[in-house]
Amino acid sequence: MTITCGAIKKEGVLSVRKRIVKKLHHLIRNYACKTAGKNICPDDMDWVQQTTVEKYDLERIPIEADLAANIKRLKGIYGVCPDFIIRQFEIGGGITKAAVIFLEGMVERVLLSENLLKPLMIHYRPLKPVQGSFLEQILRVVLPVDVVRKCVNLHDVIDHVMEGSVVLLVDGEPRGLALEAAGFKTRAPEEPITEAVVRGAREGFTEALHINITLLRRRLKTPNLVLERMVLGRISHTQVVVGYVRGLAAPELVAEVRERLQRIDIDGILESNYLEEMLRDHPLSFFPQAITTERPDRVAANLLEGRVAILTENTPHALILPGEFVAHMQSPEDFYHHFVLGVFIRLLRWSAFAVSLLLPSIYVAVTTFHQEMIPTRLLLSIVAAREGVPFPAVVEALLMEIAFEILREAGVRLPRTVGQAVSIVGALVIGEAAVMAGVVSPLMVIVVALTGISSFLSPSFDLAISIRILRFTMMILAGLLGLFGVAAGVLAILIHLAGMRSFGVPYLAGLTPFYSDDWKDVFIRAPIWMMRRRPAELSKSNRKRQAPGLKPEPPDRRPQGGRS
Amino acid sequence: MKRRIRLIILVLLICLIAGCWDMREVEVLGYVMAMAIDRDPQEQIRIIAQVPNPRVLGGGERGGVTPGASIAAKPYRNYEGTGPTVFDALREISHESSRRLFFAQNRTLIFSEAMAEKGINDVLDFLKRSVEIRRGLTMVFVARGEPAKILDTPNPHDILPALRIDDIVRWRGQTSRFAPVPLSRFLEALSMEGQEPYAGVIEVVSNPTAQVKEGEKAAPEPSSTIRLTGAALFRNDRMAGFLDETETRGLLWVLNEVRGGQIVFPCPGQEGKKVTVEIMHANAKIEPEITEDGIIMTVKIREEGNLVEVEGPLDVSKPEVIKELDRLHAAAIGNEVMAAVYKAQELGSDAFGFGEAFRRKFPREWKKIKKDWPEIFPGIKVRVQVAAHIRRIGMIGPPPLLVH
Repeated sequence: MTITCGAIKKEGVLSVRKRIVKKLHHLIRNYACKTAGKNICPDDMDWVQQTTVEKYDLERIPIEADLAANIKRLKGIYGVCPDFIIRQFEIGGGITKAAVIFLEGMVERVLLSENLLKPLMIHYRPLKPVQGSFLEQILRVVLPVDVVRKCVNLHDVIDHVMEGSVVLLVDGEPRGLALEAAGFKTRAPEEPITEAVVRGAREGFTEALHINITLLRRRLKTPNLVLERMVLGRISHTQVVVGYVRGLAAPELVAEVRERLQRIDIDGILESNYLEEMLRDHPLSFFPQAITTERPDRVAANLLEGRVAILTENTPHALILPGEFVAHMQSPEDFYHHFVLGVFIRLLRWSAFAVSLLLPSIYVAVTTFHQEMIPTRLLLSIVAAREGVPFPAVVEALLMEIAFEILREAGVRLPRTVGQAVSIVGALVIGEAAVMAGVVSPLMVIVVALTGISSFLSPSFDLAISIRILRFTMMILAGLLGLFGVAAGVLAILIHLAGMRSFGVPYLAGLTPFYSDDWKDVFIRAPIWMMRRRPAELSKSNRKRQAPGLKPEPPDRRPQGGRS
Repeated sequence: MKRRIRLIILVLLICLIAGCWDMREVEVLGYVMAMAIDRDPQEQIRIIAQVPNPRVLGGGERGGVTPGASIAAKPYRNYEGTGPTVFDALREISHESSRRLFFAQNRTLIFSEAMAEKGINDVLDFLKRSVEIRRGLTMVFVARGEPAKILDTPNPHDILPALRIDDIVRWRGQTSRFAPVPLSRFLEALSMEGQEPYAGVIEVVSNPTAQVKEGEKAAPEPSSTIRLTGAALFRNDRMAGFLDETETRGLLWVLNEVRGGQIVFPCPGQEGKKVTVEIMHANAKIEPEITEDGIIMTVKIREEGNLVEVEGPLDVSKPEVIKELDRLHAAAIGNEVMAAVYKAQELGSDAFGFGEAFRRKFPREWKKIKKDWPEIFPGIKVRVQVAAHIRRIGMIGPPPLLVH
């Protein structure tokens, strides 16, 4: 026993020592490279044994005139990846050797063969010697490809190949050409399932960034729509685009967003929530601090208010900053119907918000602490309904709410066909059987159902999540302290909300730093011709949204000086 | 950070210290819906508390754990407790009741006639002091007859006798001829020097529609029924006597408590025919005066009503006819008020608050006479000025007999 132990220990120590030596070796070599100058490089680096291929390593390897050497290096880096393809050929029947490098599945094959290989291999005729290198000449004359970038080192080559370009290397040229030919499969824009509307655009963002940008561009056709590209994620190299309207978004806000994004140093960004959690002002708060949406029209509407949008590659969910509380209660569809409906739905939404947060806790508080508050006849039916229920109201409420949450979560995760069956069984179990068995009272079922349905009225799923969680806290408080507990809980939430900021904007902006203009878009939705100003906290310098006096009126009543 | 988390946990634990303090589930309480207070022959206080049985009220559509639901049980139970004090008598009930009695939903408080005559001050102390009793909601009544019987007179329309009383009170404006009064107002009047309290009167009368015809198997209607009628006048905490229904409205006119009702008076020029007016709005003011003849109280009443019934052929489309009707029904109101005043003076109970009105207008003089007010009140002169107006005459114009 002891001997083996010792052996293992020895081996462990040895391996650690080995690692340290290796690391030191690596460092010394890098240092030597940096000091010795650009041209001396770790040429014969053994990539396979290397832990990772780092950007600074690659940037120091230039493309050499010798094609074979380049190919050898690239093969060394990519190893035996089956989708990495180097096609070697000769230009114009033996003039020079060349190679195209690309990733299978990332490029459009027809484009590659028709616009690249064909002109170079078949239609190529020797060129008159003009000025410029051979590579520049074939770029000017032979290649009918629209977007072409130059590569000078291996990092450029790999970077472009990874994004779906085809890199052309020609023997004798110390440079390469990256020809954009990305052609991977993407989903077509379709209506977002979570943000369906009755009236309005049925397009939603997709996973492909360029499609999303197009969707946004089509809505705001102005050179003032600025899109800044960033690549984040050491390994994932995710493209992130920050979009805003120049002149509307406060420059400080844009700078702040940019700065916070640049701070992010992470291996991969798979969804925009990775960014949101890194960007938040209050990382521990339950409440969402950015609006997430799949709808380009919602992004456009928010950009027009002076907000900043962040589009992330590979996810249809865009982030909109700052995402203060009131913005989460606004849906783009409020503006797509008659304003009276907008007003009604807004009011409904706010009351549903209150219901989904407070109804179970108020029910618990009132029935277990304040029986004198209930109208006599209602009280009698509550008592009759609770007769024989073995649990206290708090426990009953918690049980039912947890059961509801389980069902809801199951409904989301399960395949559609099974999900339906589960929800039917669940509804039966909760609604019917539990009441019949006398485990819960029918009134509690009504309360839980109403609460659950109310929470779906929120246009922001993120806000609904925070309410879902807080509801349980409120129920426990109600069970412990009655209405006093509920009031204390609400107060605590309000204090928390009032103390928050999202990118310099008070979290309750629109409500509490009071601007009468802003109230047109909080509990109600004023007619569009009344919305003359942008939200006060957002676009401070450019608040006018429309010309005055746009309310449609008969010509004889139109004020003098207005547009006729 | 660690310290902050610890602090938050501590604060959260504070909530648990209270540990569901004062928590009680709805179903463990017995909701007293009506309370009757009486004294038994041994001068002990006897209390009857009506508590509903929600098991029966719930309809019993739920199966499972409701044993005994099939038995046609009464929807309520009248608990009876006896003891030297009110609280003692109430706690006495807990020997029989599985539920803790809860008084905040109680809306009906009935004193027996005998008890009211002997004085209720001792009993009222508990009702004033208790935190659970809602003085603004509880209506005070004096029972004519056995209070236990009043609380045990079911009606097929209503689930509980207590709720039935409450509902009858709700529609008191249909006649304004009975005078329920909230306990708070009763206590207020009791504490004022220039005003005496009054209370509603409740009795059990036999139900003439209850006779079952021979050969019919239908369940008979209850043989007796609850009736709210008139008012009981108090002198301090002792009941002085009853007002009949007409006199009661006379009292309510002065107290500004008339919310509606009907006035019947003879049709002008038509022997034996009658006209009926429905009261829509009423407003009264007491104006005291000191004259050489003594104190004169002028009660000014403004009333507006709608014509609802005319027996004789009368052309009510003519303004002068309406004027005549206005005069006549003003006189009818005046008579009601005067009847009440005479009766109250006879009983020596200033339930109108004439003394209070006098105090407000002549505070100095009031100080001199307030001791003697019980003696002065029966002798004061009361004048009634009524301005009554008929505003609408209904859907028809002049009666067809006149058109021809």
